[in-house]
Amino acid sequence: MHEEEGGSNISTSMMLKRLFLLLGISLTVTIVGYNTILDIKQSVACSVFIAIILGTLFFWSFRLAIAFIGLAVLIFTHSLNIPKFVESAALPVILFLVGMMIVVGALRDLGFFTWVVQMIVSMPKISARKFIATTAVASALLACAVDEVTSIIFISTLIFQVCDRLKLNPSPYIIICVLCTNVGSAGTMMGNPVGIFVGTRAGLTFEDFMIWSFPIMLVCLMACIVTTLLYYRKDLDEFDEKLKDRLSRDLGLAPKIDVPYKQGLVVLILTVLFIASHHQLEKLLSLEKNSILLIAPLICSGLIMLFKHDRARYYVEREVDWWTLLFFMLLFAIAGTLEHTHVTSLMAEKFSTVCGASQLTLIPLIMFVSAIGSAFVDNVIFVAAFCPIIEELSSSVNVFPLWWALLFGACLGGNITMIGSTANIVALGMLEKRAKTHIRFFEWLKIGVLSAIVTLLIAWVLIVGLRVEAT
Amino acid sequence: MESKKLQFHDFVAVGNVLCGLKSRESFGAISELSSVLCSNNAGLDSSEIASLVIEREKLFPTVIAPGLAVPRARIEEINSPLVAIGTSREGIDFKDGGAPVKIVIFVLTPKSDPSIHLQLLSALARDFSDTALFEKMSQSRSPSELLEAFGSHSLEKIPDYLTARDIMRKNGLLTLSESNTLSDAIRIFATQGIFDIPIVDEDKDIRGMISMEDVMRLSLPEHLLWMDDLSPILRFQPFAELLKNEKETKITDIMREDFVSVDVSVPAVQVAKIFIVKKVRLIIVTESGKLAGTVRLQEFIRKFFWE
Repeated sequence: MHEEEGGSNISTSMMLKRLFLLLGISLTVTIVGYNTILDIKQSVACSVFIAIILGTLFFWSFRLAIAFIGLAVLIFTHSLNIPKFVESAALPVILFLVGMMIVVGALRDLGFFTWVVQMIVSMPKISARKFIATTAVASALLACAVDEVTSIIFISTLIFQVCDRLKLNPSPYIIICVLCTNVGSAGTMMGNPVGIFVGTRAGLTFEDFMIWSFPIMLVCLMACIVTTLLYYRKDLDEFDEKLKDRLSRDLGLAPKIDVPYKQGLVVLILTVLFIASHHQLEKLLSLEKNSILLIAPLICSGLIMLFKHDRARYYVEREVDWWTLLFFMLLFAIAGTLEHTHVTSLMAEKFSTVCGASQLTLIPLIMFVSAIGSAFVDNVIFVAAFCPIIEELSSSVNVFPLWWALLFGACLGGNITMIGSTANIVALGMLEKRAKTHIRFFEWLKIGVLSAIVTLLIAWVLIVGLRVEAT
Repeated sequence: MESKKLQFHDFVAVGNVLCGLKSRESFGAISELSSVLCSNNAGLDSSEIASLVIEREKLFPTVIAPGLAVPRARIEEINSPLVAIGTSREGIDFKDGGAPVKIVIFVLTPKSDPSIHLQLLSALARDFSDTALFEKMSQSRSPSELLEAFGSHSLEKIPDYLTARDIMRKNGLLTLSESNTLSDAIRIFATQGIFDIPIVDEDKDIRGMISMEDVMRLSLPEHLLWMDDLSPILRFQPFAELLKNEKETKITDIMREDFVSVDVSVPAVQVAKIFIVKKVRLIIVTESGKLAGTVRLQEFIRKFFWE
């Protein structure tokens, strides 16, 4: 289901240039690091990590190969051993994502997503702004409930369908929805792999997310919708005209059908409720914190596979995005090496000597750094490396608000560039395949930066405000 | 392989040429040529072979170019191809609706070499792409004159292997242009037993393809296809809108651009593989990027396994 952007067409000489640049930078880091403050293991860990970052930037379609080889380098140089690898690979996070992907497969089969799309296209008194705003909210909420990549796949299909009927260029509307999906993905721990990773590292519960990130996300979402609707007002006027024309000819946007949605809705609600009640259940059964959170999707998907046993293998083999999950596993392990070799504690030390140990300076700083970082590399990479730093800081400062700063920085920063988050890449891939249109880097950057600044400022103010209330 | 050096006319003996066929209709002409061939080759039953070729001719007329017919059959009794040629000044009616046939090339190929007839036909088609050859042969007064004309014009070697060019259909291709509408496509699908139609422009550049499924897909939007089981949706009136504006809907709005195409030089075995792997029924054959012909799965099966 998850669509992958095919190997981008870059020439061999370009590939070689990038390869040398990658090796050059990562070796320079090793040499400089070794000759200054790092020992050999630390510098190898740093250089492999930087190679992975550059690898995903330069050779997106080779990222898994680079991660595999990087892991081997770490093992050969004694920077990482197998038990430590297993420990930092974040298997519970991976299993959580596997479980959610299987649930998504079942929801698709049961017509839940079909129902959402059908509801949107057949809404009464439809107008361009109403349609796009509803779609944007739906994409954000779907991202909260399942995950951002799933959300954007279904929402993009809706936009393509409508734009096909109206003979419109879908690019502006795809951009609006992707931006809103990324904002929405910060709302819960299911929204983005970053959420569940931060949640497990910081020991945050689903309720914490509902109290902290969900309301902040809602405000950011409204701001993002308003910003993008204003930015694309001319396109929306054209949309409105064509829509009115079509409606006046008594033609709809889709055939009128009643989609059976109840089963799918029940499955989704039960899954979300189960995940939401994890903290209560853990207390009740005196289980370790977040243990139910991590296995709740597995229980749900287990039940689904029991009921739909003829589809179980299909769900596991086709609905689970093993490619990405394997990449995450290795990424977590490689970022874990930075922790084991104490690179992160060194960085935390520098961090607090440079900017002090005040929440008020650390919140915007972490947001800013993680936003810029996630704009250019996969935000999971960035967060995986940043989490241990925040853990180290906890000795000198109350880091609770810093986790939210990291989460919002990473999720909202993904909006800045077209390669900032997986959802962007997936949506652009679909746009190229379906509508044969490309979005230029700077075309995205303009609205991306604008919406990121607006939402980041709001998130900053709200985190600082809520922090006062919480203390 | 001996056919490497051979050309089509090498298979024709002077004794197997008849200048001035008596019959004015195809079956009679076939019988005449069959008896000439069988009288020169012991052990062949003329009437049996003639009826075999006539049966085949009834199903698919073998006129491969205006005025040129190649009635043929595969038989067990021979080890190498046998060819007879007959000409007719007045022309013979081959019941294909086209011009009267002036040259009949009667071909028997051994069953043990199942693709030789396609290789022969391929060389023959290329020989006759030069219309001067057709003129000279049909004007010939004696078998030796005819063979001399054939020998001096015929340059094409019998190919070692078959390519897309040899198995594709070149003439009478059914295509649509971008200005056609959905209703044109629906009419063809509904009445002609055709599943896929290439869309080409005036320069023979291929713009896309439309298949029966594309029409179906138009009425079943993609978000419905996400569901595993559509049987709970009982009341479904998807076609109303489709019928409402089929005359307005341009082909370009529904055609696919992900058609499968091969170059004329691609070997037949690769074409066969594409049919299996890509699960298509029609492969577009291109020459320097332009439409040269099409290979339909049904025609492929017929040519290789049935003819």
